[in-house]
Amino acid sequence: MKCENYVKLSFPALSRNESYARAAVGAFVSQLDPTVDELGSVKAAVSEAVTNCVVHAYSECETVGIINITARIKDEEVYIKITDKGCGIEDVKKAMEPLFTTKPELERSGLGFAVMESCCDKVKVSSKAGKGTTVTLTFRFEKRVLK
Amino acid sequence: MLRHVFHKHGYKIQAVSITQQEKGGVFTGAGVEIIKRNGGITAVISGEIGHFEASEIRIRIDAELERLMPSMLILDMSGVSFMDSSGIGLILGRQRIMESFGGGVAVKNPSPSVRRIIQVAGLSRLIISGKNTEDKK
Repeated sequence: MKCENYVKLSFPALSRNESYARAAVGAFVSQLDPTVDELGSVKAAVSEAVTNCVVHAYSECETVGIINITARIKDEEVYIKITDKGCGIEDVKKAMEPLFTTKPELERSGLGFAVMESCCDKVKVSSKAGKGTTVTLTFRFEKRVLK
Repeated sequence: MLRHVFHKHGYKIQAVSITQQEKGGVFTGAGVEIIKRNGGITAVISGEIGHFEASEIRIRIDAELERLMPSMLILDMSGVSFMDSSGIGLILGRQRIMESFGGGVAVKNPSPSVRRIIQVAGLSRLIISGKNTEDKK
């Protein structure tokens, strides 16, 4: 019996949930026996994407919105999709420029996407102003023989 | 909250913070201990540095910077298990404050994963190893 493995997480965009999100996705990915470095990369990239949702997506909204994460394992590849239904990003290219931030007063360094790109094999961002944003992170883990 | 006063390497070290900070009734899982030494201060950070934890760490450190205006701030990261770009914001923000009164910032003993984030930000020059700081005493 073959079944592709995945998990789905759904939680309100509260800052206190950021550590839960990175830890939960890290725990799911652990079944691929990643190295400490690989696991650290997954957690850092997820943390950046989720923090972006918390800081930006619903900042203009009266109620706290929901962040959805789907983590999927296919062979040695991991796909992590982080979705919000918030304000969206008007200029994705600009948002992805290193050091670009709209929240310097919160000491946001503008390096969120730079960290994601350095940690992942692929970062895909699709966004529609007023509709929301989906960030898809792809990781390729080297095949390891489990003892 | 005063944790305790103890002796280490023959120096009197005052730990003025507690290792587990609370924020809105929720444990952030990060902690800061401030150690004063020779006109400089070392902030020993433990746990994770994400967006949620960074604001609490920032408040703790800035209170000491304002009070003591030290010549050097060392962020001891040997106990930091995770850091994302929020930690970079934390480092750069403290650097800005320290430079405003002629001081400097260094990051001590980051783990390989923390080091990588610092490298992405182009801040490797701020990293010092534990051995160097011992020499400075």
